[in-house]
Amino acid sequence: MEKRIMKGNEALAEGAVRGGCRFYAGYPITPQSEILEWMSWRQKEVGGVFIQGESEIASVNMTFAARSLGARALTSTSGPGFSLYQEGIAYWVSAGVPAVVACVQRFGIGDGFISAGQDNYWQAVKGGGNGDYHLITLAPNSVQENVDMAYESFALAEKWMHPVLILSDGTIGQMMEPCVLPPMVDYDMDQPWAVKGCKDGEKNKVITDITYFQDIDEWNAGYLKKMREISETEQRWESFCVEDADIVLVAYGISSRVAESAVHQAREEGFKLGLIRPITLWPYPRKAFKEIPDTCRGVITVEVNMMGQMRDDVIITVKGKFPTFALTTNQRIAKVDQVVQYAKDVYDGKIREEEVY
Amino acid sequence: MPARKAPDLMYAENRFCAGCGHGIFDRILGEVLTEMGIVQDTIICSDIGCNHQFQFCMRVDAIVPPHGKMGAALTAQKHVRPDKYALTICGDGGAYAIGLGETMAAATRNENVTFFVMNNTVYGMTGGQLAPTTMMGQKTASSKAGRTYEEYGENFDVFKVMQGLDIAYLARTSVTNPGNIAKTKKFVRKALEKQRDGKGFSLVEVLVPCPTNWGMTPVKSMEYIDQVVSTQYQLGELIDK
Repeated sequence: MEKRIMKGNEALAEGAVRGGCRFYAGYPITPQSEILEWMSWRQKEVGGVFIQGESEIASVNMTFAARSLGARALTSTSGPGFSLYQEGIAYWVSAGVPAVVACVQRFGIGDGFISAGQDNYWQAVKGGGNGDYHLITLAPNSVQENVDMAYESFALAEKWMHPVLILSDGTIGQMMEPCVLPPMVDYDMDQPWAVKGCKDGEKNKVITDITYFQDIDEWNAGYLKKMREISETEQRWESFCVEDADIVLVAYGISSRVAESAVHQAREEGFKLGLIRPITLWPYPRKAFKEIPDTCRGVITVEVNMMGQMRDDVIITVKGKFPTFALTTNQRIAKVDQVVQYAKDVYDGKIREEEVY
Repeated sequence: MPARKAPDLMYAENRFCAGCGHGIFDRILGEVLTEMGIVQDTIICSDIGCNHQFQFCMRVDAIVPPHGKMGAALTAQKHVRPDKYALTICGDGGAYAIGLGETMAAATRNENVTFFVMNNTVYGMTGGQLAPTTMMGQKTASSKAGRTYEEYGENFDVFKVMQGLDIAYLARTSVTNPGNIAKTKKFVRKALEKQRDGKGFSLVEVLVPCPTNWGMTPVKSMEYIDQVVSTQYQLGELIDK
C-alpha cells in the first residue's frame, strides 16, 4: 500500500485508474478540472485512452461508447456540465452500461459559482434524465474516500450493470489530505456483454435501449426487481452516537465533517447530539434511521444549499415519526458552533418545522 | 450468371417504407463489409431515426448513443479499439443539425472514423419536417409554404462546410439507378479503405428518397432526386487524400 498526500480531485482520478479505469473523457470545468488534467497524462502511462471532449455532451457520449466496447470508463464534471450529462446518462441506464460519472458539486443555479455546494442533490439522486431510474450514488467525505469510491465504483456498476455516480463536492475535491492508494486492478475489457465485432455464427450485440430486443413487460419487471434489490442491499452509512441522541444530524460529504465535529463538541457540553452520515445517497440509508430512539426531538439535515434538498429523503424515511429540519448555509459551509446552536434551538422548541418547498 | 444473393449478414427483411433509400444503402454496406471481409471487425454507431432500423436486419455489432452524437461516440470507439472499423449510418438531421457540433469536432480532429449520411432532405421518422438539407422552396411538414432564405438561411451543403478541412475523404452519391448504386458502393468501399489505411475522417453523403414524406411514388421519388435534388447537391468526390 502506497501512502501519499493528494488533492481530492487527483485522488479520485488515481483511485479510478487503479480500479482499472482505462478510458476518460471530460470537458474542463471548475472545481473538478484536476481530474481531467490528471487523466491527460496518467492514462497514457497505463495504456488507456484520454480524450478532452469538445463539450460535456460529447464527453458523456464518448464514455457511453468506450464502456459499450468494454473499457472501464469514467467521466467527471460539475453542476452545469452535470445538467448537460443527463440525456447521456439516461442512455447508459436504458442500455445497462456500467459507466461511472463523478460530479464535483459547486454552488448555484445555471452557471452558478465555482465554490463548493451541495445543491445537485435532487438532480443526482432523483433521476436527472427522463424515465424511471436512480443512479447508485456514492458520497465521499474525504480524500481517502475519493480514492476508495472511485476504485470500487466500476465493480459496483458491473455488479448491477447500472451506472454509478460519485457525488463529491468542491471542498473535498480541492483539499489535500493523506491517503492510501490501493494496488492496480487488471481488468479485461473483453467482457461477454461488450461489443467487439460479431464473429461468424455468433449473435450480434447492439448496445441500446434493452427493450428493443426483449419483451418490454419482462424487462420492466426484471429492472424493477434489480432496482429493489439495489435499494435493499447497497445502503451504506456511518452512525455516530445515534442510539441515545436527543437530536440527530444527517449530513453527507463536506457537511458531515462539520456535523461530526458538532457531535463531539455538543457531547462535551453534555448535549446528546448524534449523526447519521449517508455514504450512499441512493439507495438512501433508510435502515440507519431505525436506530434513532423514540425520545429524539428532531432530525436536522446540514446542507450547503438553500432549500434543504436532502430533507425530502429524511421526511420520506421517518414518515412523520420525528420533526425534520434543514440547516442550510447556502454557498457557505456550516460552522461547528452554528450547527450545535441550531440543534439546541430545535431541542428547545425555538425553531418551527417548516413545510418543504 | 447466378442471381445476386443478399450477403449473409442481412438476416431479415428490412422494415423501411416501400421505396425508401435506406434499405438500398444497408444492402450496399452489407456487401462492402462482406467483400472486404470486415464484418467481424465492424462496430456500427447508429444514429436515432429511420437509419437505426439496420439493427433489425443486419448481423453486426452496434451501439446507439443519443440522437446525433455519432461524432463523439465514434471517436471513443476508434480510440478504445483501433483495430475495429468505427462507422455510422445516420441521417442528415442527426449529422448536420442536432449532431453538427459532434460531426464537425470529429472532422476537425480528423478522427479516423467514417460517416455514411443519408440525405433525404427531411426528418423522415418524425413525419417529414424541415431539415438543414431541405432545399429552397421545398415544402415540408414544418415549412408548408416552402423553405425561405429569410426564415432558415441557406440549405446545408456538407461540401461547402467541409471543403477546407484536413480530412481524408468527402463524397456524395445517390442510389437512383444501377449506375449510381455501383458508384455508391465504390465510394463506401473507398471511405472504409481510408479508415483501414489510417488516413483519417471520411464522409459519404447518399441522396436517398423518402416517398412517404415527399408524397411521391417510389419511381417519382427517384426521378426527383435525379432531376432536382442532384442539381442542388453536387455528386462526386470532393476530397480524396
